[in-house]
Amino acid sequence: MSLRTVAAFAIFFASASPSSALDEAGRGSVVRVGRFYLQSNAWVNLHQRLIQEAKFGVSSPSSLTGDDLKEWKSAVAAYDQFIGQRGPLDEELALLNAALSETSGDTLSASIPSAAAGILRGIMPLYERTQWKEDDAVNRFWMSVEKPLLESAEVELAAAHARAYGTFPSRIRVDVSVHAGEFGAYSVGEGDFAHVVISSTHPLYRGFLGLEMLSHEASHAVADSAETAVIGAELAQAERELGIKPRRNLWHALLFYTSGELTRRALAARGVADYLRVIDRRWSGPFRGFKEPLETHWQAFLDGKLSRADAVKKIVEETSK
Amino acid sequence: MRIRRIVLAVLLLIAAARLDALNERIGPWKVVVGRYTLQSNRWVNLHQRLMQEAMYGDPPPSALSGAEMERWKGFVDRYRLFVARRDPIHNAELIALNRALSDSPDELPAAVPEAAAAVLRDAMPLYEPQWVIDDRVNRFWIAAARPLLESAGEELATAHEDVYPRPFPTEIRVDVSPLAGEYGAYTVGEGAVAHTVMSSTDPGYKEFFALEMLFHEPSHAIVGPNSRDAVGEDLARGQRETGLRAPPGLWHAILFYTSGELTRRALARRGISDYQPFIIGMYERAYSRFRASLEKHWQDYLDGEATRAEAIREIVLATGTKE
Repeated sequence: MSLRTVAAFAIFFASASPSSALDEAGRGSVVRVGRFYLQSNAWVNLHQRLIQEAKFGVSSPSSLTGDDLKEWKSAVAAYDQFIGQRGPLDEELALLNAALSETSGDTLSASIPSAAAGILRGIMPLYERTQWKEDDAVNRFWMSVEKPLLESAEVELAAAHARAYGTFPSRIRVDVSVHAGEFGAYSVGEGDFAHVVISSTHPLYRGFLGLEMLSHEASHAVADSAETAVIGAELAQAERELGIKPRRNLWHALLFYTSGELTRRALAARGVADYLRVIDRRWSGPFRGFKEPLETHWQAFLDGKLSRADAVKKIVEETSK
Repeated sequence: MRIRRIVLAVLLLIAAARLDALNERIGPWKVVVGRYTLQSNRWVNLHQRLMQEAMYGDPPPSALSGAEMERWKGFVDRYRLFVARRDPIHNAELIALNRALSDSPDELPAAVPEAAAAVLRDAMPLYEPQWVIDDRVNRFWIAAARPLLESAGEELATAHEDVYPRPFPTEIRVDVSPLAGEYGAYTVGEGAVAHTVMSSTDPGYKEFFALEMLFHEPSHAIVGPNSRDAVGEDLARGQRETGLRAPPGLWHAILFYTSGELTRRALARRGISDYQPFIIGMYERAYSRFRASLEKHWQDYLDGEATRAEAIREIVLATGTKE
């Protein structure tokens, strides 16, 4: 069973429990729009904050000084040891994040590794006293901005993604957090379920861009580089037929293009004529050399003028030159 | 032929009903948040569209062609004659007309001058298909702006009151329309009452800019160039003290700076640390000579490090010209 499947089952079963209804009670708040379940959860935020400081060197909460700061730094050091060299997609860390996402009260699930549970439990009072209120306010503001965008376009965007990929998750849990990994968001889950952690402060996940990235992140549950996934299957087929190895991040560029273009269309229908897709900010970076092939062949696919397999094949051919 | 026309009419009715349903899903046509009423009103939108085409040569609704286009152009010509050289910010009849339309979501109000009423009444059936699109765009804009006002509205109103210092308007009507005058928005009203028309499609009034502009625009009800207005009063005193004449656009630049900076602060408290106030983009176009003194002296005032009189005096000294 793959990590994604494990995480998806964990999320599915846990989400079925009444404890998922945090609303204004407990530590955090919830916004539900169609298939999206957005929340600001103190345990997830603390976990993400500790990881971010341990692994990516972000500053400690600015309000901390003296003994408080010492206590915090010691928790960060212990968390650094617990995490080791693992990334957030590591099976144990994905399950840990899923369990925290389900926790609204003081009691942590027994499924959480004791090393992590001890640190989180020990430092939570300090976090709550000094930083959580501010983090929660920022998360709530982010959710309040995204909510009307989702209410307006979620059904339309999900249908458009389902047309592009053949499927789209019907249940998307989104943990909104001031920190959310190296790139500002990440996703686990598979098929019908996606669990997203997304940043409430990163400029690339804000306002209209937030709408695009909510779809983009959820798409990771159905489309990726694996041969069993959408996009990955077409890339593997193209590789077999052409004898050309696709560029390593081509699958991800296709995801960016898809959610970006579908969001652009949805916004254009709502009077936003100048939306700049995330990928349009990346052509000269990691997606160098992809612009023309994607704008020609993937656009033709999204316009219904080319099959997905044919589009991928042409793109693989042209990006390998 | 007749049957085909009937079928076409029925299909158009069904399509319009579906689009109306979609618009309902996007959000309500009218939203009240504290002192603000945001609304999408068909008469105001038609009035603004006819004015925009008549005065600034904007293109006609894209769905029109052939005989319908000719009729539409005729309506625009008649509206051009009605509006003539008057401008909607200073002309009393146009101000009253826009207000009367704004008060009437359904029927064309009797208070509208007959020359305008006749055009609006005749043009409305042609405008209807475009109105469905305009209304959707307006409702989306309103839906997106609403949480910003809900979160930061009162905080920003208080902050503006502290700066000017005058009571901020308490009754702010915002008519949202794709077309809203030469600059994308304008405001009439004075003191406690402000009536703003704001564009739902102009990039300068979108996302977080919307929040800034929802404060910039009603500020016009209390801020202005005259000695009875906030800022204008300060500039008059600054001119007397320095013997220099303040540049004509300075009062407006101060208004832009104020709403921009206060919005930047409000957003920073909400996790948006990189908001670029609208005036940043204007420095290159219109306000380059004001930039240094605003960023030094007006910023000092906003930070509580200088009095308003001191800040204005320094700004007039830096930007003013000899009488």
